[in-house]
Amino acid sequence: MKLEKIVEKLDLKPLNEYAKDRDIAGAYTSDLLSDVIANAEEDELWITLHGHQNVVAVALLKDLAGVIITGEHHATEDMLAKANEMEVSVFKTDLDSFQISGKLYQLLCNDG
Amino acid sequence: MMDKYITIDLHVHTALSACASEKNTPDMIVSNAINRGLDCIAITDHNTALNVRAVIDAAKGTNLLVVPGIEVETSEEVHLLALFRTIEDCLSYNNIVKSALSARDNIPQFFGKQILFDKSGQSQYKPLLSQSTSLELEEVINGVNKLNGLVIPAHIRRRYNGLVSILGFIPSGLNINTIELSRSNYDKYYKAYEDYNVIVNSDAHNLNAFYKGPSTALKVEKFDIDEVLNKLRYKLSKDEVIIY
Repeated sequence: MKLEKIVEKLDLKPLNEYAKDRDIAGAYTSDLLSDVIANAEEDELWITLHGHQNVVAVALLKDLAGVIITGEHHATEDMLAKANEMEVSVFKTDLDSFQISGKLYQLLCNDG
Repeated sequence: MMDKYITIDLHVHTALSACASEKNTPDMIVSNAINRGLDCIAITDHNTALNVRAVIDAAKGTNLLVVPGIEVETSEEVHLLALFRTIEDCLSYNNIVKSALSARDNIPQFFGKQILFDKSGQSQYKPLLSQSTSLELEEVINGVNKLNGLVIPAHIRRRYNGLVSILGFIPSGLNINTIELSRSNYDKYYKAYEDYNVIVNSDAHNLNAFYKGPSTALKVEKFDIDEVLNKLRYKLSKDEVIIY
């Protein structure tokens, strides 16, 4: 599914530029960056509550399609600066990680 | 004074940490640290410095140097040892930590008792300390540095609350030169951190922990808190900080 459609369907708020045409393979929900480094796959969206700049580096390292920051958590200024510099897409949702994961799972599973 | 080595253990819990033994009283910590042959310990309870003064008092009349400290849990759930030159600086940072904790009470049956020691004896400290603060990693480092303190990320490769487990790697530009590895995985990981001073501490939650190894020796010119903190502020040569 195209990233643009996911952003629209889940009402994600883009915090910077993103590639609308990028095909999303799936998603990974985790707040341990070491775990994401070990287990996330490329072209996945990453659902997390971390707004730390290291998130950008891990997303880049794993060639993830974007990061969704959940609930009451926010991207730090450092993170946004790094994300813009490295061209890593960051989104915000007010839903918590469980809710957004469930919705995204449903959306991707019902797609074709 | 000529250069000499002192043995240091900069991560010690008192019974105020819910997960620590109730036997970790100020007197028992001091006597066991001395028995173990330590020259310098830091008291680092989870998110509080309220037992530091009691341990400093217990060490009066001995040669044991007690560094005031707090093991701060950041908003990312990373554990940092925040060490200070004076009890006043430490208590001043304690106020910042205290106001960054959400207000709920400890549940002793679940987390364990939080035992406070002061002149009037001992009592249970009610507010829950086993939680993360709202302070971000860099915010803690900047705040502690402003008070001329020193931050050492604790057990950085531990699965829970370790900087590298949670944030993947040490963030670039982080203003630190010393890190702590757990005794249990020091051998496995120390080579990966040659750019830092790597130390090991007991992370003593019980008194037996003092007697396990490995331990850290630091080369100093003077035997005081300023010297210990100043040394670890900068990258030292290999013969200045020794794991044995």
